[in-house]
Amino acid sequence: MNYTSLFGYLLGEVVLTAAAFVILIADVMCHRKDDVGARNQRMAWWTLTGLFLAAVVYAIQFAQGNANFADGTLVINPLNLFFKEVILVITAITVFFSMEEPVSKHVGEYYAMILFAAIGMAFLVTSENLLMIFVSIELLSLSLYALVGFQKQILRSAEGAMKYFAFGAVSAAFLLFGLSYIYGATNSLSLPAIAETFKGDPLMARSPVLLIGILFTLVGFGFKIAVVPFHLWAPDAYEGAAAPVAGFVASGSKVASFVALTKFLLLGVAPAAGAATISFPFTPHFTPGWAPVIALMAFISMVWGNLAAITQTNLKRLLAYSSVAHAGYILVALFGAKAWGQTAIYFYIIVYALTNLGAFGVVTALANKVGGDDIRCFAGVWRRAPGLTVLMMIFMLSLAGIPPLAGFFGKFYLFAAGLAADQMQLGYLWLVITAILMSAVSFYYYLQVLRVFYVNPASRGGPISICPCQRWPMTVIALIIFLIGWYPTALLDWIQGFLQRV
Amino acid sequence: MNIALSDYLLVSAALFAIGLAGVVMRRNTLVIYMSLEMMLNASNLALAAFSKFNAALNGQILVFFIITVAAAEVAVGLAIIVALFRVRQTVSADEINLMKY
Amino acid sequence: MLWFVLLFGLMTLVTGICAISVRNIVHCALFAVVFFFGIACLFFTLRAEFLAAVQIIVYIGAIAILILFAIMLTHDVTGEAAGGMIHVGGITGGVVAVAVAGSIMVALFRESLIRNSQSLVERTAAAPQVSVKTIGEALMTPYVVPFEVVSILLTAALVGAIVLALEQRPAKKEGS
Repeated sequence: MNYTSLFGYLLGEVVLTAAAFVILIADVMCHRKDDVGARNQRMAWWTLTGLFLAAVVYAIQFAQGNANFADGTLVINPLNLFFKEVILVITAITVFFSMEEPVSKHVGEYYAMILFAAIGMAFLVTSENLLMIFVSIELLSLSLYALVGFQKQILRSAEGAMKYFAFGAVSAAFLLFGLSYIYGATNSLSLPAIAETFKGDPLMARSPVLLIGILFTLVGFGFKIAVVPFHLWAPDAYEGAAAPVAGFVASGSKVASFVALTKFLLLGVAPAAGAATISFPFTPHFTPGWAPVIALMAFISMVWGNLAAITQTNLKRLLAYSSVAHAGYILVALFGAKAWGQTAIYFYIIVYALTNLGAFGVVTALANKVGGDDIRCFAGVWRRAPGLTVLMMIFMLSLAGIPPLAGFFGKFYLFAAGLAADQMQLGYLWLVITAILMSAVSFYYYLQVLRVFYVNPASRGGPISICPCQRWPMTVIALIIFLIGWYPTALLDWIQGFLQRV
Repeated sequence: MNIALSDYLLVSAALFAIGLAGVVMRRNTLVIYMSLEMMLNASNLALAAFSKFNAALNGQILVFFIITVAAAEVAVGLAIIVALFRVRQTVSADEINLMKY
Repeated sequence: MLWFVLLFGLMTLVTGICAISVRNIVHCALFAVVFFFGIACLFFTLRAEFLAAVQIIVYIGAIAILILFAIMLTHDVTGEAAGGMIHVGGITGGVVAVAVAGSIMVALFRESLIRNSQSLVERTAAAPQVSVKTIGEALMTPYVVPFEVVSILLTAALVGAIVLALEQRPAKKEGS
């Protein structure tokens, strides 16, 4: 047991924690008397400094070798470090978005909570141990519950936090019950050790106790990634939360949870997959395992998420339902061959998180100036903020999956991975066809949003000035989406390279 | 006659279901929290039982962490209730309905 | 020993049902206290004395008291509006709960069918030698990382709960 080397491995998270405490103390000690706006900017810069330092630490750790500490509670490898960097970028963009206007008057606490959530995400992507996964999911969730409720003088915010909390706590109980059964069946908590038990025991893959454990665990994860029928909190929480927080919940927490879910299924319990295939000519084949559950969740999420999004009148709720649908698309790739499926999921989750963050950034920048976040408020915004509208077009078209943008290649890889499942038998073709049909449906509401932005007659008002702290991050995101769209293989090769060095 | 693992597991399954029933059927958010704690307790019981019959320590460690996390969760949850009560003057889940589909 | 387990198992079941079904929420909280105590006793029968102590200190000493405080803070003692539990949500909720319990029990039953003799659920191994010392060593050596994460979590919960519960001059109400 070498605590010094452990400290070295944890240095990034230590820096983030230290930054959170510095912010809490500095806000109370030095800036109590300043006005809220000035305090907000100063605290935001402190947070950004902390994030930057942590990013430097992770970058240095890339050069060091892999490490697996104590039963998978802390696994350092290039892939995990890469995802930690992604999370830091997402957090930094969120901080930039909240810089212009304070979300609440508890400024220091707000940024500290954002950092705590980021620490939870960083630990979540870096662990391969059920205990650690549970603890970091809880750290992440508790911080986000509080962040959603931060504008507590607004009723919507408190209600959103209440719903988020109630659903989250129930799903945590399911997750725990599931984890306890998996532990009982396999007698281990680390994912590689769980995978080991399948080799020694042929009955393990269809042990009912293990399967019920996996089922309950998937209920818990289903809540975090917001798939139907565990999505009910998402629209309310997004609508109630301040726009930067909603973007953070929709992107950062999604990235971390999807990485953990992918590891849990493909690294831990892959042999208990079972099957829910339909091969030609129409012979359904069904074996109990996690595959039927995931297939069902993916199917309902794609159908229900897209159909419900069409009827939304609030832009944040529309983005919430679109994120439900996207979670469904991502699940399709879990059926792919292991390496391919993982690559496709990691590629898409990064692209999706950035795009979604950008879309929420547009809402942040505009909502207060056009008088709300209902879609009709944005009518004809094109004349008042042309640059921002172009950015919104890029984000919406990427979410819809229009060819030259990153979203298209992401979806292409996902669906290709889904097709490559079980030795080219095309068993999950039904799921892929649903996915393609439903993404065609999704064009309708993304274009509808753009139509309102561009075509509808403008409400009165002069040009809207956008704070550079929001304009620049959004422009950078749009550029990244463009670049990935032009050179999709660059990011793909990166991820594949990292996967090989795991 | 010896007590088998399955006896504990049956009790824990029943308690989990009772807690779940409380969460979905009751309207008062405070009672919902108590039912949530019952669900967590049910999984703790299952874990402790598995830990004993697997003759391993890590199940008990997990229970220790769960109890810690549950305490933190209750604190945040009750704070949310108090915040909601301040703006709304109710703790009934039925009246938390400003946002609909 | 067997009788103790039966007694405490029955006690948790009965108090659990009472806690979710009585109308007065102070009574609910008191039933919940007995329920938590019953779980602690079951931990004793599992030779998990440390957990039993933690259960009593944290659940009865902190969580139950916190809930009682919240009941007093929000002074809503009588609970539900008229109509109580018999409504559509209540019925579907009951069905879901029964389905969940049923699926777990079917799984346990089938587990013992699949592996008749060496069944997972019918193991009667000796308890691990657990003392506070071994638990402390486990927390500080293999599980030191989650232990640190939990400390961050408690801080985050503390900060979040204070901000949320702090009194603020109510702004204009919206909706309703």
